[in-house]
Amino acid sequence: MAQSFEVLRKINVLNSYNRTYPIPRYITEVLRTSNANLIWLSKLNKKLLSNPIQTIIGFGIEDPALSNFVENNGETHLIDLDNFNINYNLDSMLGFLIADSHIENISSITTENLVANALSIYSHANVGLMLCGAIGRLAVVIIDKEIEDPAKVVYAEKLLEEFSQQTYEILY
Amino acid sequence: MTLTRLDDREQRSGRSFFRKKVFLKEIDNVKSIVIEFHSNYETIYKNYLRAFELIPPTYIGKMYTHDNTALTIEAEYLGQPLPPRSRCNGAVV
Repeated sequence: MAQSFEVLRKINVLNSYNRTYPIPRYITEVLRTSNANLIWLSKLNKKLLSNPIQTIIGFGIEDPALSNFVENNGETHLIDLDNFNINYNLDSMLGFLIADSHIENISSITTENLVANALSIYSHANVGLMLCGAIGRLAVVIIDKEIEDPAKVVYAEKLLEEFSQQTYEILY
Repeated sequence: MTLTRLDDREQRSGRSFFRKKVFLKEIDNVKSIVIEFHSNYETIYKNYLRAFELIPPTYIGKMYTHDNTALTIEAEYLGQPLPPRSRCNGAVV
């Protein structure tokens, strides 16, 4: 995971600049499509729109899951560029990446261990934005629930509101 | 030449399942990733083109992409400096 993040970091800093944090599309999409009562996520989304956060944006991918990387001869390469864009925040991508590893294994996940994991990889991570990325990964499971493992869907639905509330409190 | 379908990876990436097939190509011990697009996904295709233009191949590995249908991408990375758009032949954008 640390190697995958290093690839993301190198790509991100190739052309980074300061601008408003773009809300991950998956957050908007899950709010639009899900029947679940996502009160805190909705609140977080509205706050991000009304009180935008200024941060560093650069090259990246929207869905930095571990499966989008391969390792060959000790080197890690990004191989899935379907969702490449120039407007991604590194902290947010880190959150997505770490959440992905937890979700794939359906391993125990809390905001505390997610943050601890993130900071062990990147000590400068903005915790709030990192959690926004993790929320994005949880949202993907719900958006894709027709093709996802049902256990993962239950797991993601349970966590999404909890993460959204804590992220809201950290950011605002 | 060995061309191995990375089935496991494809199955795990649910959102990409219908868009493409991913292979591992090996020629003279040089490994590349082959991505075969099998539908008209212009946005994704353009994202690849943009990434190829902007990111040095060191970070995204050796990659060869092509499509048997409408989109044809002929961009091969061999660890050389970033290939210009002109290396993408026959592209229908």
